[in-house]
Amino acid sequence: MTAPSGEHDRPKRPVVVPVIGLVLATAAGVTALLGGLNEVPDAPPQLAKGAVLDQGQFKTRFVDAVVSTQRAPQPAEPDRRFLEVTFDVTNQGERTAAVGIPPQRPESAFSGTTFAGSLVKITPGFAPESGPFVFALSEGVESRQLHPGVATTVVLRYRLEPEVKVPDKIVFDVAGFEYTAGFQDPDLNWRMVSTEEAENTFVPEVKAQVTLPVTVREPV
Amino acid sequence: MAVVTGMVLIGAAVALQTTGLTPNEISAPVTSVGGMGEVVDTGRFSVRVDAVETAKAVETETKTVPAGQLFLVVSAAATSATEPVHLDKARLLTASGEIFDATDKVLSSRNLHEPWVQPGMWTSGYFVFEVPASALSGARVVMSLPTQVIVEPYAPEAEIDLGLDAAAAKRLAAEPKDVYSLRKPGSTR
Repeated sequence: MTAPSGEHDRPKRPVVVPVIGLVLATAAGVTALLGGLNEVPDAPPQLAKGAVLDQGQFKTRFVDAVVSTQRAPQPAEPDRRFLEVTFDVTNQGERTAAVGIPPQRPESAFSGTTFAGSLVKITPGFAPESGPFVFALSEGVESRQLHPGVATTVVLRYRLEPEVKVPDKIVFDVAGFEYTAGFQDPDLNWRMVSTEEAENTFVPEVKAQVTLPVTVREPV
Repeated sequence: MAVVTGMVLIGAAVALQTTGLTPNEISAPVTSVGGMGEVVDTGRFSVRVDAVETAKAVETETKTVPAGQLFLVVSAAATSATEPVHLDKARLLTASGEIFDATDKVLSSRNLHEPWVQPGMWTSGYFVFEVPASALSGARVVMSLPTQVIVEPYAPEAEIDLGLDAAAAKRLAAEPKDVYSLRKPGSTR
């Protein structure tokens, strides 16, 4: 007589452990799929006056922000006030780049291809008629070009209306560029580093947040 | 034998891949090259570079513009094959591969991208670049037609070697003219 094989003699298989394992693996998978394991974006590095930021295409020093007053030609007119932010910009690319202007609308900021286009957010904002006007300056001559390998002074200027209060600081969210192919255009070019937040909605990656104290120069 | 032939063919195919063009090279224009004083014919337009000089400032019809670096003034002439064209602003290609656009500081009607370039006659003018002295040696100037709304494949361009060896570049960098005048001789402001 032989006992029927198996069943009674074999120890029961531990079912609970693999089940728990499976459940955990599935949970981890679902979490990963839903983006739960993605790296939490760090707050962008905070930079202060005089700091140098490598933006890929440009190497930029944030020099200062100064409010200056120009005496009105007629005593009856109000004096003109300007907020001028100065940058030292070296074009690290291989060809002449444009100074440009900061983006008009935040949703199109990612498509910026100019130096000022990388200043994706400026706080506080000013009325559109105040500017900003952005230009390169050397020997008192204005230009809109940043030539390769040349360190150039760039001025970003707001004309402050008489009723506008001078802010004590101005904050720039600064984006970077990488030399890469575009979304539709296979050519290699300098393009702003951005992430796709939703379908067809790109948001520039803020490489650093730069805070400049605004100093007021007394009228002469 | 067949195996060896197969291996050789596969190897050759892999090797050929490395000669493939990058997207930038595929969309690059077709370049005609030449030297100083030569007529460089692109088929659509012809250009000739007559002289190259450096200056600390350039005088236009309205003002004298000082250079932040060094102005490189290229005197050139152009003609067209069949129809009137405008040239685009020229670019300066340096030995190290940098590309300088013609400066936007010098606004003059004598810049060669301003006038119409007509068939059967030569139009002369200038291209002014602002460059560091280090960009001079081995520099070439590139002239093309302005980009159209509909991008043209294989657009023509002329690339002219300015013939600046190290010695010539050194001399140009060391002895710039104080003021180079773009005003027509005898004209008043």
